[in-house]
Amino acid sequence: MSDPAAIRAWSWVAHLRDGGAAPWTGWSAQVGSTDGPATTGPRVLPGAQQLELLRRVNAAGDLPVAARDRVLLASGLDRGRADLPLPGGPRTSFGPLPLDPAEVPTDELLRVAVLLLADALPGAPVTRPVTAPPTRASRLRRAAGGGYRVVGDPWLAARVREELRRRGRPPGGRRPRVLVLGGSVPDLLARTWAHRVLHEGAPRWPDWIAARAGGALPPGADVAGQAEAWASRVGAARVVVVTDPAALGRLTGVRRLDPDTALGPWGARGPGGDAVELARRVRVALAVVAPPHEHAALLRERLLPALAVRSARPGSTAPASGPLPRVPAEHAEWAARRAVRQRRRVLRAGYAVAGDVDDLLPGRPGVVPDPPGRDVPDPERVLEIAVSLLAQGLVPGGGDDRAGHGSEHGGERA
Amino acid sequence: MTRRVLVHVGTPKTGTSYLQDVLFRNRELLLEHDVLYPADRFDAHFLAALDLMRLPWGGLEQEALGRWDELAAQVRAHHGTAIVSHEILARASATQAAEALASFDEPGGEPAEIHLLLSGRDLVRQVPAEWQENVKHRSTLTYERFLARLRDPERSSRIGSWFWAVQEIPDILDRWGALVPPERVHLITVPPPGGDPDLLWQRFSSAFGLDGLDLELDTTRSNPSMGVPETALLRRINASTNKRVPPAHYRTLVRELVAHQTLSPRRDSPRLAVPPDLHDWLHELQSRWVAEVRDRGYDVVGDLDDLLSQPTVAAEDFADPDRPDEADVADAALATIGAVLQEQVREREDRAAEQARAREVEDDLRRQLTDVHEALARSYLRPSYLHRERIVRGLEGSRVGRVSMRVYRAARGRSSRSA
Repeated sequence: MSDPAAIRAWSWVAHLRDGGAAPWTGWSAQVGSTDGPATTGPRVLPGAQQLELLRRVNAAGDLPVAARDRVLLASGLDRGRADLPLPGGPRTSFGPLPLDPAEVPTDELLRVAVLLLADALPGAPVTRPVTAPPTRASRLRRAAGGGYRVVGDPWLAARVREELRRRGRPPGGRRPRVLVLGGSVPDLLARTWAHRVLHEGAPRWPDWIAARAGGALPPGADVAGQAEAWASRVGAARVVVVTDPAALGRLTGVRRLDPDTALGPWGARGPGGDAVELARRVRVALAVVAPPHEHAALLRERLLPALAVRSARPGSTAPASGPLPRVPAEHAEWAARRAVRQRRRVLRAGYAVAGDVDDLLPGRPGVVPDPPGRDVPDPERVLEIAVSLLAQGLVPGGGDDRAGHGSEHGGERA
Repeated sequence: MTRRVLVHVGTPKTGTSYLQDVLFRNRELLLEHDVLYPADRFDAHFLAALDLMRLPWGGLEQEALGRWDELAAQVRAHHGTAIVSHEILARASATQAAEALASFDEPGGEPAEIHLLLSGRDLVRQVPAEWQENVKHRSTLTYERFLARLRDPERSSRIGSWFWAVQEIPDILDRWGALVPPERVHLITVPPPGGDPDLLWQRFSSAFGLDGLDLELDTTRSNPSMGVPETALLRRINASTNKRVPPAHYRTLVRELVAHQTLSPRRDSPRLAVPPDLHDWLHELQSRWVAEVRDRGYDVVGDLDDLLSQPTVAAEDFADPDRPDEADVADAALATIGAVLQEQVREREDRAAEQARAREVEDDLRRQLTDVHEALARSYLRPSYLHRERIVRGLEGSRVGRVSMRVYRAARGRSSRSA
């Protein structure tokens, strides 16, 4: 005899496999529905986590049915809750308590989403920065002592170097001028964390910042320290601390280097904390997908371009995938003290400063304040970004290469 | 011939290490009887299970990449009976279990006859064993808090979620047995303590169809348990050293040296047990499991009543590991310090012996070098050598001489200049 609860559950699975986004609560099976799996797709009922994730992905985009099945068959990363049964679904006297999919905790949905994204990365389109051969003018400038190095803020410096290489103006040369990119310490910390996540990996933002608070600034945020190190090699007269990214074009001899357009969708500001947190979680998931030496490249060349596409999409509600993560209140005083000390060291050493040296301090105009009460990374926003990436086709074996198109800074597809 | 696959999915602490060791040590004999245990070490299926379940495990997940597919390919290629066994497979979701069972069949080929095996033990022994296993894996959770997490009906903590996923027998059989007929599901019960020590092996042997094979059963593989003060001590060691001891060193120094080699052999201390006020709850829980399993018509190897929890210690003898006898803990700590010192001494002696060996080699090389120098010096002193040296020096003093030397050396077939 057919089990009405099983009919209801399997008909909802069929609805989701068809791209539907109706919630489980209030769902009723249509006449003729069966109480078992379809000939293709999952053979056993997926958990509430997978079903709810697919419902959200369906609401955000249109995937082929094979990709929807991937979501339903996905595992959750690491030890979290077991796959949860549906309330009002087939009878289960044992196992975890049923839970309405709409009430599945965000972290549980993220466990499934990040493993799906990690599984998708090896097959995702690759975007690498374009490098043009040095122009004649560049070679002459370098030979004549007009070369440059860009250091300091690790996120911004990497983007600037990429852009200049793309224009045939690679860094280096005899006795180069060293441009140390600076900013307010909280922003530098946020971008240093982002850089670490994408390169060698890093813990959650609150843990990362707590481990540094009270001590020295990490090298990426230590503008004065980097300036001193370079001054000892090339002389203080050839070191310029740059607090105004708009001055970079003039300093490197490149016309129209507008940071807001030339440095990718995030400009000089860097990616938002929610996007970086997603990258961090995907990196953790990569542990069960690919060998460690591939992780950084998978994030930088495949996930980051997909995030950039999402951020650059017209009408995107989060053009930079959220604000930078904020230094928690308990560490704000430490960051402010370090900023004051950093500014004092820069002034005392007598370096040239492009911009306002007071921009090394927190809370200056130009630093967009976080909306009141907004704490980042926010798991809900992180999940929102993950769902939108899955909906735009970043699903294992999805075969949809929309991700990676339209890179704003001239990426090349490998 | 029908391909049969015996999939043993747990539960932990039911003699699984012993079983896997016997299978591993006898794998050649088993193969002669067409039984394949595809393993390069006794617990080889652990990595495959991690891969199947996508579980990070302190860095081991890197070694696990692709292991399930390798295992499944070996099983598919074998035309007799193949055995897959690891206790953490009990944690697999229904989707993962279905994927695992499907992987044993070639697409479009004849499906294998799958048999699902599960070994189970009463919760009165499983609960403290699982807490102790957590402590041996760096946990600092007190017994009280561990028990509270088990009692949380939401199972929302990692501890609660994991424990019930690998211990709740009807749920494991729901997940793994959804696609297997009940007559091919075999539940092996672990006998209560105090009986025939060979009985559990006899049950395994019967369930796996190994009766009549002359297997080597002597194995040192066991997972010994610690007493109350020893476990309390290890938990405190974790709390004070976790941040300073990297995982690889923890495995060798703490789990192996301290827990297994030093604390486990101390058998006089009180044994870990379930608090008396939890007995009724556990008994009621397992009575429901037993009734359910009985109804489902599985093949039971042993006695289902073995699963019904009976107190292992009298209520008045219960020793709380969160409030241990401090004198006993101090005693265990002294034994631990002694073992660590002994290990240090041994390492230093090994290092000293290593250095002595290196010095001997160095002295020997030095002697050989001296011999060579002396031989060279002797040859320099020969009149013919001194004469030739004078000629060469004379020739190298002029351009014509140098050209002559080059021609001479080229003719001799030696292009290098003399020393």
